[in-house]
Amino acid sequence: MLSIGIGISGLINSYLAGRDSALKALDSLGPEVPDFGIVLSTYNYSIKNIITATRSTVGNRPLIGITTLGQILDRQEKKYSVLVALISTERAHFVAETIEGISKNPYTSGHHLAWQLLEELGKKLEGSEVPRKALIIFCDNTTIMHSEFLKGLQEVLGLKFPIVGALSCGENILRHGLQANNEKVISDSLSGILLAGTNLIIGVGARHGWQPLGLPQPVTKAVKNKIISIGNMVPYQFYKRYLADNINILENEPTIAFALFPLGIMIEKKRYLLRIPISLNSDGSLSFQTIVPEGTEVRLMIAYREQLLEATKQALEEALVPFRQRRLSPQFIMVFSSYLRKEILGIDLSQELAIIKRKLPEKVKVFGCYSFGEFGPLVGGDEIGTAYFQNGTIVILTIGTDK
Amino acid sequence: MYVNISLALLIVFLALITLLAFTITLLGQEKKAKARIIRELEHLRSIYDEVEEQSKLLAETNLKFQKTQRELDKKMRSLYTLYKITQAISRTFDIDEILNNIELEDIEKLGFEKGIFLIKDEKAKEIRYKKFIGYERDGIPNFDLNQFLPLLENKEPIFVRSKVHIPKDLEYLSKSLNLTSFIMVPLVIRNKAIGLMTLGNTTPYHKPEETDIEILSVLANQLAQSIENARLYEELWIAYQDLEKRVKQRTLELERANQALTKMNQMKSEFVSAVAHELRTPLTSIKGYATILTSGRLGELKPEQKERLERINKHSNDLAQLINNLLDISRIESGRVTMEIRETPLDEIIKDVSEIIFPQVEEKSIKFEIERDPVINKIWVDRQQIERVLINILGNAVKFTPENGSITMRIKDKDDYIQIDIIDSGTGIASQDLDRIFDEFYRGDNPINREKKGTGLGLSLAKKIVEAHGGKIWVESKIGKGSKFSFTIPKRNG
Repeated sequence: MLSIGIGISGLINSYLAGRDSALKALDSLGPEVPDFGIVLSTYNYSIKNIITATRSTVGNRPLIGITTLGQILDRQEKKYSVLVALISTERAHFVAETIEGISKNPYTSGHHLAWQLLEELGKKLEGSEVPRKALIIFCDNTTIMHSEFLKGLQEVLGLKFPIVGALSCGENILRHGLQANNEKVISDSLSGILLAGTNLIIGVGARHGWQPLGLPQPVTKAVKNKIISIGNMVPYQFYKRYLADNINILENEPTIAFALFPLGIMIEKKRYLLRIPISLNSDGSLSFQTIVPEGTEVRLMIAYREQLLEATKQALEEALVPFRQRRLSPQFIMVFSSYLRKEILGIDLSQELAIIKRKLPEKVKVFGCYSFGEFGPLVGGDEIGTAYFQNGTIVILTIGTDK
Repeated sequence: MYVNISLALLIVFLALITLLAFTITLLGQEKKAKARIIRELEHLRSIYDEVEEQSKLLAETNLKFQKTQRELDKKMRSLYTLYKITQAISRTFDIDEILNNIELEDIEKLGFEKGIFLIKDEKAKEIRYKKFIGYERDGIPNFDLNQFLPLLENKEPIFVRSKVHIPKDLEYLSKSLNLTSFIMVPLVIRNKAIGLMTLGNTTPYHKPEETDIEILSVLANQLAQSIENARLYEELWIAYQDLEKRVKQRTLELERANQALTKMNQMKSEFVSAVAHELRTPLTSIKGYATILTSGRLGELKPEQKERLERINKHSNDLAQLINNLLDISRIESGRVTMEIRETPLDEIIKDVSEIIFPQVEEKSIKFEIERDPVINKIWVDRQQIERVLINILGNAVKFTPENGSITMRIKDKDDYIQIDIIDSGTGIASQDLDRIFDEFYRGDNPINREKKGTGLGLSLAKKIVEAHGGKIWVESKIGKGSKFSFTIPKRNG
């Protein structure tokens, strides 16, 4: 049996907020004893104090925490918000590890994390084998080589192994977020939670909803995470072709501008990976959170609210496929959604959660966070695809057990 | 040989011609193909350009649409927040509570990070109420808030979009409050500023818009109204407290006066009772001796002596009647006499009363009628006392009705009570006498009363008896139009 208790608090004091949400999570969990905990706190709290308070309330349970832009359990956006999820894992195994210093060598860090998780799982299982089902990862903005550590992970766990997760966040996209593994608070790190269990059922869905606009153009010059030219022009000119007189929006309201018109890279089955510029440089080049290699074909992407909400529905449908096949419902759902969706959806943001909750029985608990970057496959459902670092995406992880 | 050479030359020439023709044809086709390719490329180019143009149009449209949508979102959020705050602040009459109903979440939904609300005390001319929102982490700024007072002179909002736009005279305040952009709106009621609302931002990422002024002005208006209502309520409450205090005081005074009156009344009753008893004894002797003398037992009397003695007897009887009435009133008032209320046949009461009244009405040829509801058979009364009431009222009716007049006694069933009306066609009662007609010793000033002496206690006694039965008595009358005396007797259930 897999049970989860969720508690959320908006108290201003970090310690009190941690304690309050932990108590509520314990209450929500009922008579079950928590084996594992996930803490999501908005960046304006001291996550260390929150973790300390949570551990003092629930006992020395393994806890993984990150700083976020806000929690998805709330229908209304709240500036101060702490969410504690306590999981009781009678028929499943959750193991967690953290690797520090990933910016030095992301690929090796990915490898190490995967091996450490497997080792930890092995110790827990005392030699017996259970199938590994999914990996949840958190990391911050200190590295731009996300594909590298993903590669490292996938080489050990498998190319199509379900990997989902989010970036920890600071006040804005240029600030680093923080992770916590028990009472150790760190940045420049990669945390992973490996889920395993014979009876564990996992579903993954990920969509963004942006559509391609205009014709593809090659990235003709790029240095690490900076695109210097697209086709035969600087990115600023590329955008000017489409925005014309409205080009000033790139300087005046860059968040809105890039949320509305990110770049898309076609990967598989006509699915596009979104890449959101984080800054427009004085030479007309664009910087990104991650590497955009030379030769990549990019297209300008465009979004409407209805399309984003439709994407949420599709992601959910994909994530529920394993459960529909077995005529079961998940026990709980984790959602990682992009801050860009908040920008586009506006007051309709609550519709995302409403869409998810409408499709599920009331007892199924849903929680998650908003982030500057997400990890997930481009294809979910029956055949889960390779995981990528994504922007603008809603990633849904459904977790349950069979009877 | 020459023929062969010529033939050979011809063949070569023909071959060359053919080759040339072939080459020309090939070149022509290639040209055509190239032209076709160029045409197709141009066509593709134009499609490409069209697609790009369409994309540009789509991008522009989307941008405009999103801008409109964002503005709409902001308006919706602001309106909802305004509605929520208005609902909350209109529920209370306490100024502190009004301000406490505005939360950080509301300020953020309006698009700001911080809010400062200051309310002036009219009398003290200084800031009395204050609320700082968004300063929980940084701490509330510590400076003299009365520096805001001059800003209340501006009845118009002040809009500062960014740090560079801060007016010199507001630099200190904006620094103290840690604001880089803000909107200040005075709270105005009846053209007088009673406070100031400032919403602002610390970070340069959030900038207020001119359109925010409208919403904040509405909010300021609502706040000012609520605060004014709170003030008025407070004044009303103080006035009410004062009034209540005075009412309590007056009630206490009235209670004391009432107690004194009751005591006086009691003393009066006791005095009357005592005097009446004291008077009865000698009166009995006077009557006794007068009777003995009149009887002739002590010797024959002269006619004039007999006449004088009869007068003494009559006046003694009158005096005894007066004393009895006084005693009865006194006893009823003091509760020493209780009504012995029993179920009594109405017929018997009517018979007793008629026996006494008929001779009087016959003497003056007055038409006397009795009308009764057939459903009334028995009534719950003290028979003796209620007959006294009827005799008193009917007696008055006869006294004040001229010859050939009429008197009607009407007995009606009225659900919870029986009503008896006695209507005469007599002289009527002057309006100034109506209010006092049931007072003890009161006799209206009219020729009949001047001519015929009376104690003025009959109606007073009737009233006491009716009220002791739990009923009411009243009169309707006009001079020259006769009178209607009515009284009620409650019904009882067994």
